[in-house]
Amino acid sequence: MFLLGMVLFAVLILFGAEPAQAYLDPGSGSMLIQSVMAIVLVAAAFIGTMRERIKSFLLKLIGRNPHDKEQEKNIDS
Amino acid sequence: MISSLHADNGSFRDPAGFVFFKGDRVLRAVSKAGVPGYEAARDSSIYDLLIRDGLLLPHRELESGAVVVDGADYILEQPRLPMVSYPWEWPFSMLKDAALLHLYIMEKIVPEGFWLRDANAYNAQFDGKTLRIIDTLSIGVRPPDTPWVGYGQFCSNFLAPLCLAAYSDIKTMGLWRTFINGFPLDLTRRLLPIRALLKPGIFMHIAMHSYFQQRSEQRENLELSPAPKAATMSERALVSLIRSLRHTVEKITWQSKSPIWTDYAALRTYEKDDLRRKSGFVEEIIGFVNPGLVWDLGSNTGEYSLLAAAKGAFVVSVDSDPACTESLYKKITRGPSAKRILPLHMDLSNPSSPLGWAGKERKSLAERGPADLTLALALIHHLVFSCLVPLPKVAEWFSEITRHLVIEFVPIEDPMVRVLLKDRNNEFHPYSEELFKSSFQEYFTIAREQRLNNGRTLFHLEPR
Repeated sequence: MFLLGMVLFAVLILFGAEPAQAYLDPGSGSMLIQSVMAIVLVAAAFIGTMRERIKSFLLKLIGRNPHDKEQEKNIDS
Repeated sequence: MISSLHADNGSFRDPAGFVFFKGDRVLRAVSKAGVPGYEAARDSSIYDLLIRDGLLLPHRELESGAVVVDGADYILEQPRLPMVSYPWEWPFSMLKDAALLHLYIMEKIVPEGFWLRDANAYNAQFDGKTLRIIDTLSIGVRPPDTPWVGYGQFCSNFLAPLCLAAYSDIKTMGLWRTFINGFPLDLTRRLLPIRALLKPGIFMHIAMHSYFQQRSEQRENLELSPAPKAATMSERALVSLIRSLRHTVEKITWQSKSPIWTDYAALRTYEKDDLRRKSGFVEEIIGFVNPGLVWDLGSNTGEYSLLAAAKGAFVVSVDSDPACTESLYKKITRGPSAKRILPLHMDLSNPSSPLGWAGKERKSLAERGPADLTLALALIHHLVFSCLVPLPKVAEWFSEITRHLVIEFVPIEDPMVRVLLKDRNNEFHPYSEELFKSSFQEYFTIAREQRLNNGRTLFHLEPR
């Protein structure tokens, strides 16, 4: 995630940012980094979902139900 | 214009409104610039929701014409806080709770189309029971797709001081008195150890954030951005950012390691009988004075603060050991029955002074008094021998901050004084019970005294 963040940072730092209307100075750097982090956070969520899907797919391939472990846990408790 | 009204010196920055006092009443004027945000939040019940959940100080909109102030479209009345406090005085967990309070509110109101217009630590105040946002006008309408305007302020007001306190040193909380509008992120980045900067949340919100701030500043100074492009952020992304901040803050913990706190029981020079006499004396004076506001200076574990609070007083419990105030804060907020106690960290040889614009924006300790009753138990020898303040000056200071005083005189033969003097080669200010009495009698009358078996004496001093 750091690497992704740094790459996006390097690309986006090339653009400037205009602060929104506010009584306190939000700081253009503070506004810009949020846009970058938005991409990082959304990308992280996407990667997380994809990882789960791939894991579940691979487990199915080897004939194991990915929910087996959870079910076992529930039975134990 | 405000004539019989008295404007608060700490609320002039926001053009949306300001606070003023009418006698004992606390009123908030909503200026033209604040009207759209106020009306939108009021009409969509956002205020009701936050007040109901104990996140926002309640207010009542006064009828038009009830109080007339130039430039005010609405006047709101709010309950008076027993005492305003500042982040450099707060226990670590109070600052952390104030940070989380801002984030809980953001998570609640961003999906409703609102946000916090700022993230100013001074807007969170602990009234002895609840920590709430006191600035009604901090809630505003979020322009669509806009990143949080309070993000930079949040990181410098909360994240930076919390990280430094937890990962560098709790004493860095004292930096607040220099950087009263929040810690600079570049300084924070340089002071934090690598192990802290490698934590993902701190890396993003402090290290990268600081780098972005510096780069933008450089570009602005060099006028490299003549036609800047607006930064945008979807609601979903903003909520993710707030959650990321919340997870980062939740993980920051400070482990207090105070020898005074952990070995306190062993250090005590009291036997059971004396302890009973001391508690009885303090209780009796509290019952006699019936104070609304008690300051317990040098409160240590808060034993006597709890006693005064149990008698119905609002107690400000001050100690120079951050571990003591932290422990008391946790005891009163996480315990089963909340007491009205505000624990504050302060070095009494350098108490909070006036700060900010014109030296009036943030008040000194004395300006927030006087207390109806001050407890100064097992304190005077620390002021004279550790802080090197002569007895007459100690007496003068107490006369400026309190009406009644319960003070414990600790004789020079006391084992605790001997510990303080062991390497002093008899070089210290004059100190005796006679000098103590004559110094305090300049300003107070001795109403009662109680001798203890350990050689110490308790005095109840009344104003002259």
